[in-house]
Amino acid sequence: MTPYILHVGIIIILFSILSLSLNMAVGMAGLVSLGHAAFFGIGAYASGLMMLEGLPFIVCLLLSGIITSLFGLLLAIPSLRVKDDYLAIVTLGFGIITVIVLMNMGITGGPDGLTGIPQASVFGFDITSKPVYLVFCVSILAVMVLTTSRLKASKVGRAWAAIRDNDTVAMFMGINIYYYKILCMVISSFWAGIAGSLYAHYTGYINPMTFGMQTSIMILAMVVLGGIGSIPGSIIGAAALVILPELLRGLEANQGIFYGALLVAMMVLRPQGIMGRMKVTDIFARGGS
Amino acid sequence: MGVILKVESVHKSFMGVSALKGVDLEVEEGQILGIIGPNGAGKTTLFNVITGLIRQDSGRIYLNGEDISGTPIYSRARLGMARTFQNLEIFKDMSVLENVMSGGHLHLDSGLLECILDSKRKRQEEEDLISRAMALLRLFGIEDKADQDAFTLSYGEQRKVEIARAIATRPRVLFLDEPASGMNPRETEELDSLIKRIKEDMQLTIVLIEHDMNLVMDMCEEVVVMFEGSVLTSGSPREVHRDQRVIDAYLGRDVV
Ligand SMILES: Nc1ncnc2c1ncn2[C@@H]1O[C@H](COP(=O)(O)OP(=O)(O)OP(=O)(O)O)[C@@H](O)[C@H]1O
Ligand SMILES: [Mg+2]
Repeated sequence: MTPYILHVGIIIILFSILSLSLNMAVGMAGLVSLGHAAFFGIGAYASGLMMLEGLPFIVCLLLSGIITSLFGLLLAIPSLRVKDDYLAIVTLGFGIITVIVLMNMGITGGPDGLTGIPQASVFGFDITSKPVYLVFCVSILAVMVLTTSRLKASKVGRAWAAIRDNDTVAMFMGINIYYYKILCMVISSFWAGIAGSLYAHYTGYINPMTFGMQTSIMILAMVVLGGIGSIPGSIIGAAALVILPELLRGLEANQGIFYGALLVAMMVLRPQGIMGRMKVTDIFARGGS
Repeated sequence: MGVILKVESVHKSFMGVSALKGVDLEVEEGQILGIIGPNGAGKTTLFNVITGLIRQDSGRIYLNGEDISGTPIYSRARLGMARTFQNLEIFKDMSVLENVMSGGHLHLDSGLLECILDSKRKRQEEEDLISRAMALLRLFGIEDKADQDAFTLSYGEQRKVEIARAIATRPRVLFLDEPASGMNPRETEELDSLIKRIKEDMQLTIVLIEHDMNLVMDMCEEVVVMFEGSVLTSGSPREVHRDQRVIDAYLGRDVV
């Protein structure tokens, strides 16, 4: 395999983690989260900074997931206590503010970002070569897919599905909807943070612009394209939207138009996405009941 | 047999319009209590207040002697309250079986970690839940529809799913808001004997809002008549049926 293909493979896996983590919130629990790339960024910066301080990679990886999930928790508690619609607004604001903060903080390197993030190694083994790093990322995704599908097939997944369907009625089943919504945001942001860490150590260089609204929209597009609530769909959606621009390199300026057209066509022809059962409109056009 | 549910001078108004004007109610354990009254009498509002969906302006609610006036819905469900809705609230994106299984949520003890690790206890609990849910579907005669999307069922069958889901929470008091509406006469008759049977099997207390007087006369030991946000009278179905005030309250509506 050429380094180029390996590179595309690694990026697909990282975006698969991101789209599956967003799909957990949006697709499984019906929580509209609009600033997902900010969690990705927090994970990347947390990991980068810790590693520059000399912490071992595996510790940085885990801690960045945990730190990011704390942000998910802090965001979820006030917004979900009030009303669901607030989460969309709060996450949107959070997505914008995070970039601004990263741009302006001294410790994060401002607009220039962080450079010279040390390469990854696990228990003394160097995992920086592309084939090894790809295998490492695939195994992380495998762990995520396994735990997520188990959650989905348990009372947790059923509680999320009930909440997505009608959270008032869900309460009559004895489901503490606040707990399950907050739990969902915590797990979702945890994995986004893990993706951030993997990204930071892969590129060795991060800057705020990677984690802005455009990336949030791209991850959301992966979820919609792949299928609301679908685990394989999340991966297919990520792969499709990473590979397509590579194929469309020549079009450059017209890429945006192409994405727009693709998503509109999808909404019209197959609103449930490639693998999903539910329509996007069920989540995003829901009247406040 | 004591009082399992007690409602004490509950008031509720919507934007200045009084829907409940000081309602008192006592429900005996093991009873089937009927609540009747013309449209807009406040029957559903009373259910909403008792089950925690809306907060009363004043007044108190006691379940088994415990004051639950400010308790959230999901905690009331844990304390043993379950309900169905006048305008049918099943989970549309779930199968029939999943709907009923979701009613078993509060009886699953395995925690988050066990769900992730797929522990033995978790798998056992899921298996038990499935067989209990299937047994309920069998009881309601819709076990062959278990894997269908719930919204594809007929209206009457969806009502059954909703009742089965409520029973899966293993309540002590079950609130049914017009369970027979949208059912054909045969289904209504089935429902009648089914509810009586479930009540005996599970030692349930049932509070039932119903417009179908035949069903009320047949099922209920006691009937409470509501009118314009207050309890007009109560008594045995027969007494109530003869009461001139009740007939007046219904005037302009067929009282059967
Ligand atoms: N959420 C609400 N907002 C405003 N008004 C309401 C609300 N719920 C009920 N009401 C009003 O309160 C009154 C009582 O309504 P309720 O639904 O309790 O009557 P009901 O006895 O269940 O009638 P029906 O037999 O038609 O179901 C009505 O005037 C109704 O319009
Ligand atoms: Mg009503």
